Amino acid sequence: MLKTVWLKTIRDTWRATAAWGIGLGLLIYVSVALYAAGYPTLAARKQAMSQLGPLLNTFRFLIGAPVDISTPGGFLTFRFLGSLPVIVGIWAIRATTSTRDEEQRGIGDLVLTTPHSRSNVLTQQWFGFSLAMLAITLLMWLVGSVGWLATGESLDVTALLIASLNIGFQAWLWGSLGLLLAQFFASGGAASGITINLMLFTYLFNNLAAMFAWLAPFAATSPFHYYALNRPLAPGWVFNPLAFAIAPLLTLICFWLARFFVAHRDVGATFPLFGPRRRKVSAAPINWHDPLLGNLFLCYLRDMIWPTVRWALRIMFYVVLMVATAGQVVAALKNIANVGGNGSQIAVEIYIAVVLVMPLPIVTAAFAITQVAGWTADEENGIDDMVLTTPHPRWSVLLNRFAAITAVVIALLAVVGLTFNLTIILSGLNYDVGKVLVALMQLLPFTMLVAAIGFAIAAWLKRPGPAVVLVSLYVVAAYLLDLLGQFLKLPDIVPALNIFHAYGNPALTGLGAWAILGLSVAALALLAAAMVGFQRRDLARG
Amino acid sequence: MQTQNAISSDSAIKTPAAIQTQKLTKYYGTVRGVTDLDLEVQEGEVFGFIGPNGAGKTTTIRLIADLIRPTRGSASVFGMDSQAESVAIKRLIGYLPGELSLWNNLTGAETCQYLGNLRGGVDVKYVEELAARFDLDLRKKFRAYSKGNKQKVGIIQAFMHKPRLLILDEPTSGLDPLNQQEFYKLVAEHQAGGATVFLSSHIFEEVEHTCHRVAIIREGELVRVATISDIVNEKTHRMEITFDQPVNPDQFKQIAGVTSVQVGDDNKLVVNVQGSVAPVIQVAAQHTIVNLITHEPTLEEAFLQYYQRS
Repeated sequence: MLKTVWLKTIRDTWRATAAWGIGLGLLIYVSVALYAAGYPTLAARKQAMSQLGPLLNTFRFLIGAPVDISTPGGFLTFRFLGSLPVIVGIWAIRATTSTRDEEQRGIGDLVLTTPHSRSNVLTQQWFGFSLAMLAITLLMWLVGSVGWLATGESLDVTALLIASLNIGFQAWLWGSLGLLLAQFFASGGAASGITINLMLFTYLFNNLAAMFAWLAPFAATSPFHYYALNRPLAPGWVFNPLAFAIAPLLTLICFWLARFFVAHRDVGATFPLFGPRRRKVSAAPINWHDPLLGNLFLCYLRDMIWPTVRWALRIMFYVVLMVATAGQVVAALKNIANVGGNGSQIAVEIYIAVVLVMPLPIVTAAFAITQVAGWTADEENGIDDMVLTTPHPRWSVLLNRFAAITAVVIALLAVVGLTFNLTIILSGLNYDVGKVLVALMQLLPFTMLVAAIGFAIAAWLKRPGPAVVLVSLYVVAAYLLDLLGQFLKLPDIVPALNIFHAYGNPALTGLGAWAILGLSVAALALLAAAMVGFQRRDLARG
Repeated sequence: MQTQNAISSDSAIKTPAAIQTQKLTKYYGTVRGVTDLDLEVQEGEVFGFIGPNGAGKTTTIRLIADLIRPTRGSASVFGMDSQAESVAIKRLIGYLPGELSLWNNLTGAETCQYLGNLRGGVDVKYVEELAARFDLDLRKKFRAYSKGNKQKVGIIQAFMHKPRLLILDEPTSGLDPLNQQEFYKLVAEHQAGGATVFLSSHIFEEVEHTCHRVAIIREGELVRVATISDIVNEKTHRMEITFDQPVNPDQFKQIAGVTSVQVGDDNKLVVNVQGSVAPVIQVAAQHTIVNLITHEPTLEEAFLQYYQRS
């Protein structure tokens, strides 16, 4: 596995490749199994379709064009297949842009002093990534097929293969675009951030274009438009080979452009789009009294400000988008709610709760995980060696970090709350904003609990790095269990240990004082465990 | 603005050892770090700590700095236990790690400012003076510095608060010869001011020029603690003495310090002697010497003898 660059790439990614492929296959199996258990008869499936049909149309901006869910394939298409390319795409983008970080660390210098050209090295890396994507796709198909057949439901194996390839092609495209954009950014993080934002934007844009006639002519600019034209598992689907071929074609174009740019730039530098740049060093006198460097808490805060601003902007964009589209969907929701005079208000409440409030915990959990990742990276990279040879006890360093995270989470939630209030007022919607504020308030202990779980795991492991993966797995598993739990007969202890279950849906049910108390106590207990663990163990590095 | 942990005038008063370890042992699982390390560094001395790669130098330093915890044994700094009084110890130390990692998004000045604030304040003028001595522009982001300049930031942050104990892990790594000389001067100044310096290094000349005593560590165990002059005197000299007629080699084998005697062609004896060669010359002078050649090993060879012994 160390004979060539592409084999090395596969060696670096095989675990993730296997996990993604098998995980997606299991997702297909679980979804079909749950569907089969939840709707065992054709009559039940038809009834579900008649009940949920209008709702599917209402939320098409999130899940794409509505689909007949009276078959397992239709249900799978509705539930997951619309957004799966985005999720796999995030991994693909991270995988390709991480090569830029390796370059920044000087690994590129070493590889490129072996007898291989830059374009050859990039080609091999991309080839390794492409094989990984193919492996994910085939594993998803294979495991999904076996699982599906195990449920006793009928399966068109070819259709599932095309659906898997369709997902794989989209992720392949976004990974390759990430590789291309990485030629213009100094860090893999910046390149992946831009590419992921672009992917999310084009995904939402494509869905919105299906709702708003004036956007429809521009829908073809989004790769997801071509993805959505092929839904092989949906009843009545007709294969569109041209749409199927668009993503691979764009992928090859991205790759060839990346190959061109990498050959025409300095190693470790970005491609000079606007001619050579001179690095400027400020001639201004040094400010020796930056207040944000005054203590641990403030310096941690200083590091977190810009990432938090970027998260806040993304969430604000989403909030504004959702509130702006509310007018169109409320009418449909009113019919579904089937209520009298105050139908509009109920419709808005359902809409806000489902579209705006329900996704927020997973978003803030993801934010908390990025903070855990930052904390563990500081230790692994040796930064903590420097901090902990200053006269501060370890528990205090950890506590300051946690306090800084708490502060930015409060700021993030406050900005989201403010944005929501303003957009509701400006849109003229009839909605009690207090309900969302309650939900946001409840999100604080929830988010801090996710962070505390990560800190506690990091503190009690020999090396902190794996804590990020473990807390991510827990959050994803908890989210899925909460989402699909109604179909499962799980022991009572499982929901009790689920943070999403504990959080509930305060926008609909009101302030949960016990939930806030429970989440807070759990967060504090885990924080204390983290402090004890961090105090007693060896500091890892490298 | 002098820091609270600056060297005080009463440092001459007899104090506990600057660093003392007792049976200090560290295992990473089953992998050996250091074993039963007994080390004592007196206040005010510049103490060298040398050994081959993987010998346990960085492990020892990280144990003293309480970044990792011993499997058994203990370490103390100025009489304070490295774990129980870790925070108090860190008020007194300046630390430069072997693999320096600092905040990429901070400039050199911001790095010094931040670490200075965490340590309780720093004399800004002294930071600027140090930067000028090392010809370092503090306005650049850390990520933009070359390897040598990054090391200079590391050195400045370790010295800027004039600590009572400097723990430096391979401090001149990446520095050009001019800046190495500047570093040696800086160490001498701080030592003259009463500071203790614990310095790990691979560069024998650096140890020879800067250190009073040196400890040699190999495979996690201390193999020698001695003054530089002791090490120098312990050098094994190789003497090739040619006489006008055959000489009994046993005469030389009995001389103190002689480690081996070999009989060569043409009435030649090859005598290896550790320490002074005077007794050998005295015995040889009892005969008629035709030729005398002495090979004096370098300090590096002297150290390498310790490295290679199994």
